[in-house]
Amino acid sequence: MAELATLARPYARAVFAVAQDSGAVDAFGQGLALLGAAASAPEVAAMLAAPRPGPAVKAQELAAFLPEGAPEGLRALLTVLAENKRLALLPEIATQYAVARDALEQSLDVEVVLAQPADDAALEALKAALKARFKKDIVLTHRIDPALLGGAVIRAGDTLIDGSVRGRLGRLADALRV
Amino acid sequence: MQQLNPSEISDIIKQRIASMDLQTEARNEGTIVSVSDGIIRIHGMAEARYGEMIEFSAGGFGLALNLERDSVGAVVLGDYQHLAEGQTARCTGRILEVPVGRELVGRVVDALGNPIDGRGDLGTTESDAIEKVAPGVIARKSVDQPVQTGLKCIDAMVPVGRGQRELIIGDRQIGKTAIAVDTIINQKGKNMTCIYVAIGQKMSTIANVVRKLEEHGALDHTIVVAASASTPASMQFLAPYAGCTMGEWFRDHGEDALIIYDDLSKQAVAYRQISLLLKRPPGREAYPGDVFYLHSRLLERASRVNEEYVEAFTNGAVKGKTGSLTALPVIETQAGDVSAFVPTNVISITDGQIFLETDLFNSGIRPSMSPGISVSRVGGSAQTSFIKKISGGIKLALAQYRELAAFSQFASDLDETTRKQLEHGRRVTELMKQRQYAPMSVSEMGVSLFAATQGFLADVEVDKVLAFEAALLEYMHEAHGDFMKQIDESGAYNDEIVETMRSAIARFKETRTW
Repeated sequence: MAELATLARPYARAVFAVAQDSGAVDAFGQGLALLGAAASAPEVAAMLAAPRPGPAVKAQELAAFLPEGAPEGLRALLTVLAENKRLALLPEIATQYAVARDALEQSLDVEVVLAQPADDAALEALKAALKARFKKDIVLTHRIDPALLGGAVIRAGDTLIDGSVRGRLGRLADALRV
Repeated sequence: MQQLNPSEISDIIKQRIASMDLQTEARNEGTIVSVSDGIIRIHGMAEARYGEMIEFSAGGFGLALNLERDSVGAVVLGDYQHLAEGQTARCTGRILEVPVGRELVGRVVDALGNPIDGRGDLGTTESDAIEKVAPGVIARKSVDQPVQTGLKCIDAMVPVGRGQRELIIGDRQIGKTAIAVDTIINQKGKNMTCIYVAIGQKMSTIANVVRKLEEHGALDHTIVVAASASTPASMQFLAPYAGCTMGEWFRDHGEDALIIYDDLSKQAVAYRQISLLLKRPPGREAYPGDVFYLHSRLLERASRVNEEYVEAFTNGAVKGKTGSLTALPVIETQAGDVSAFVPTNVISITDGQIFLETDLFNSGIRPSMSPGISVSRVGGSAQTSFIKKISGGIKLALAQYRELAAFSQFASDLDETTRKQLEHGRRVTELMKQRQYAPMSVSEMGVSLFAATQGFLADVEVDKVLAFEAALLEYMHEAHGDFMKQIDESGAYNDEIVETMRSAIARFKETRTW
């Protein structure tokens, strides 16, 4: 069975190209994020997977999640996906769209997990260091996890930088076990 | 009360902690999206490299073998029941490594180098990658030193040299492993470290081999790498490479090593299983397209390297010595079909082959080597002078015998020359038989073959030839022990030695019975 990402890629590329041509990359991105979140909800996912209602009705149901003034291209995307029975790919399409937009804007979504709360100055310093490393604008989100004991874990795409005390203890345990 | 492990002594632990690098590391991670039949599909991990070791958050390691656009296909090294969808996996940035060094000798390990003989830690300090590039042309030296298998038919007719690859090929239960084990037993005291890689065999068979090696004092110079039939296909696929890395350590340090892959047919089957599960397109006989490369990159690492290479590798610690890794791969054929896919592949890679035939085995000729189609492409360069000069007539005698064998039923109607050739061929064929676990020294072999080629067997009945040989060798050890020892040490051949043997055998025939 083909990877969902592989199936979603042509759709994500197509909608990104349409968004670029119409100069509404952000609007399309926001609309797709909403649709992706909606399609992930259990009740909606169940509706999409069921044989009835038909594709047109499913597309309409999902379109109801779009705000006023959302680009028409998104409704057209929903129609195409429904006809091809690929509405379940919406979350993946939204993810790939976000990656493409970040690449265009040279920005990177980074999640930082800290053992203890940090002040704004520390977060800004961290942001600057990450920008120097990845050479992109950083969109930083952070949360606290006391289980790290100390330090931080930084996740940027596939890359994980583990500077936590828990991570170091784990590596120490591995080395002593050998 | 729990036993204290020697490695738990606080000084050792302190050293380990002090030498650990606990720097923050950046690594590439992905999420497992499917687990089935030992194959893991990981989403993400965009920076994974081919053959890289993957570490699973739930424990265990895998090998990245399929680099696809959105996912990585990895084969799990070991058990996979504890792995599940949603867990994370990360790249380690390393190629799979196994422990290497002299500490492995005498031990039985698995394909990852973990000891499985119940004798505790290996105590190795070095490790090396299992996938390595073979030495280049400049680093090599021609093969001119013999590997004495101790088997008359092989050392006389298809001699193997140090650094050569000689294939042992035949049907099941025909004596392929027996040749390998006898060769290992005969390496005692010959400065040769042996590695026996068992792939896909029954554990009981491997245990028997280990026991036999131990009984004959051969385990002291042997490493056994075991990937039995009950181990995952990934272990059976990797075991030959792990064994080769262990053997290369000796080669690169100016020593000689011998590695036996028993057998590569099972490694090919394991690799086929992995490839098909990774959804790679099947080719001929459902093997993947790179099954040739599977064996060629393994066997090319068996070579002889020159003094400059060894000196450079050891940073000047070892000077003036060459190193070698000799490979004896084993291939099992089905119903004698040597034109099948994998057998033809390996035949084209190796420097010769020893064909074992079922008909010969069933007619009592054991080792059941077919002299007509067995060949060593290194040939006489890999023989001691002594054996080379004496054994020259053996292959010819057997070839002539085979040619005339059809006429043997008309024995009474043949001319004298033909009849003599037949009789001689019969005796030489009988002489080539040898018991298992009874390898012969150079002197013993030489004396035996000399008796045959010089016509001393002409008046010995065919069914008494082996008894004659046994009695002759006993006599030679009793009455000419120093001579035998000298031959074993020097391997020289000259008129004086010829005359000594001629007169000794003549005296034996006059004075002894058999």
